[in-house]
Amino acid sequence: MSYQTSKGVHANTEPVYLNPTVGTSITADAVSEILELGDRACLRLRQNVTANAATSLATTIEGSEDRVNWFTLGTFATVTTPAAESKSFPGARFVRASFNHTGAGAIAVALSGEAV
Amino acid sequence: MQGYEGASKWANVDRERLYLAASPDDDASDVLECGDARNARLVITVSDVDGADPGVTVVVQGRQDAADDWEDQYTGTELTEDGVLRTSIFPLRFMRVTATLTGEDGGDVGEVTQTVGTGPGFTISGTPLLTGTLTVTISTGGAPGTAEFDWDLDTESATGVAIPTTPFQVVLTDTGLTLTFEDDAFVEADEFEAEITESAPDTSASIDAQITLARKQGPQEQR
Repeated sequence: MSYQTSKGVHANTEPVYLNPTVGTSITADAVSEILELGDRACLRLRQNVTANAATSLATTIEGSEDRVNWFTLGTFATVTTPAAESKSFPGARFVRASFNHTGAGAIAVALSGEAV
Repeated sequence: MQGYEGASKWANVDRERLYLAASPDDDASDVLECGDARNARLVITVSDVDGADPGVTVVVQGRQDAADDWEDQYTGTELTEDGVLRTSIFPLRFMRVTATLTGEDGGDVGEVTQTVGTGPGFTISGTPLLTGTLTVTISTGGAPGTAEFDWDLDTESATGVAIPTTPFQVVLTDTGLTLTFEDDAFVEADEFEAEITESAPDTSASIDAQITLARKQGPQEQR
C-alpha cells in the first residue's frame, strides 16, 4: 500500500506487521511471523507495549537471507513499563521480530510499521 | 532537486534543506516528510556559533505519525565552534533537526522564588555557575555570631549555624537547588526558600541541514 505525502508525492510504502505469532499478549519468549521484504531496504517500526505484568521485554529485529540463519538488524530499548517507541532498521530479504520476555506475567505488545 | 544522472543510471534522490536558528527560544526546525525515502544523507553545517562558553549539540529526530513522540535518530558531537557534521540514517516518515545549547554562562544571581513567614532579610549574590560559590548574606533577624539557623541544600544541610559576621557561603552542585532556612530559636522565620537557578546559556548558532533523500527507483524513473 502506498500513500500521498503532504506535497502530493506518491510514496511507495508497504505496511508491516511483526506481532508475536502467539498473539499480542505474551507470557514467554516469542517470535513474529517471517516477512519477506524482497527489495525493500528499510523498516520503520513502532513498538507499543500497553501492559506489563512481567519484568521486562527486549525486542530484537532480525534479518536473514535463507530463513535459517538469523542476524540482528537492531533492537528496541528494553521496556519495563508500558511505553511506545518508533525506530528505523535496515532491511534484509527476510525479517522477523524476536521478543525476549523476562519475569512472570503477561506483556501486551504490538509491533507494526512500514517498509520502504 | 529531483534526481541526477549517476555514473551508470538515474539516481532517484530528493534534495531538501532544514534550517534552524538555534537559540534558547528556538530549538527545532520545520518538519520534513520523508515519504518513502529509504535513506537520508545529511550534511549539517553549524555556523555563527556564539556565546561566552558555547556548546551546540545537533540532534536529528524522527517519528512515524504526528501524534507520536519524537525519537532521537542521530546525535552529533558537541560543537564549541563552527563545524560540519555528516551522517546517514534510515529516516522515519517525518524528520526534524533540533539543537541542544549548552554552556554555563550565568550572569544572573540566584533568585528568591518563595518567601514564607517573616525573619531575617538576606540577599544572594554571586554567579550561579555549577560548582561556583553563592554568597548569602543575612542582614537581620538575630545577632551575627550568636543567633543560629538551619539550612539545607539538596542533600546537604546543617543545623545550629550561627549567623555569621561574614557572608554565609554555599557551593552549588547542581541547578534548581533550594536553599531553605528553617525556623529556629533566633531566626524568626517559618521558612525561607531561595531557588538557585542558572540562567539560560546565551549560546546561539545557525544550523543548515542539507538532506539527500534516496528513494527506490521506479520503472518510470529508470533510464
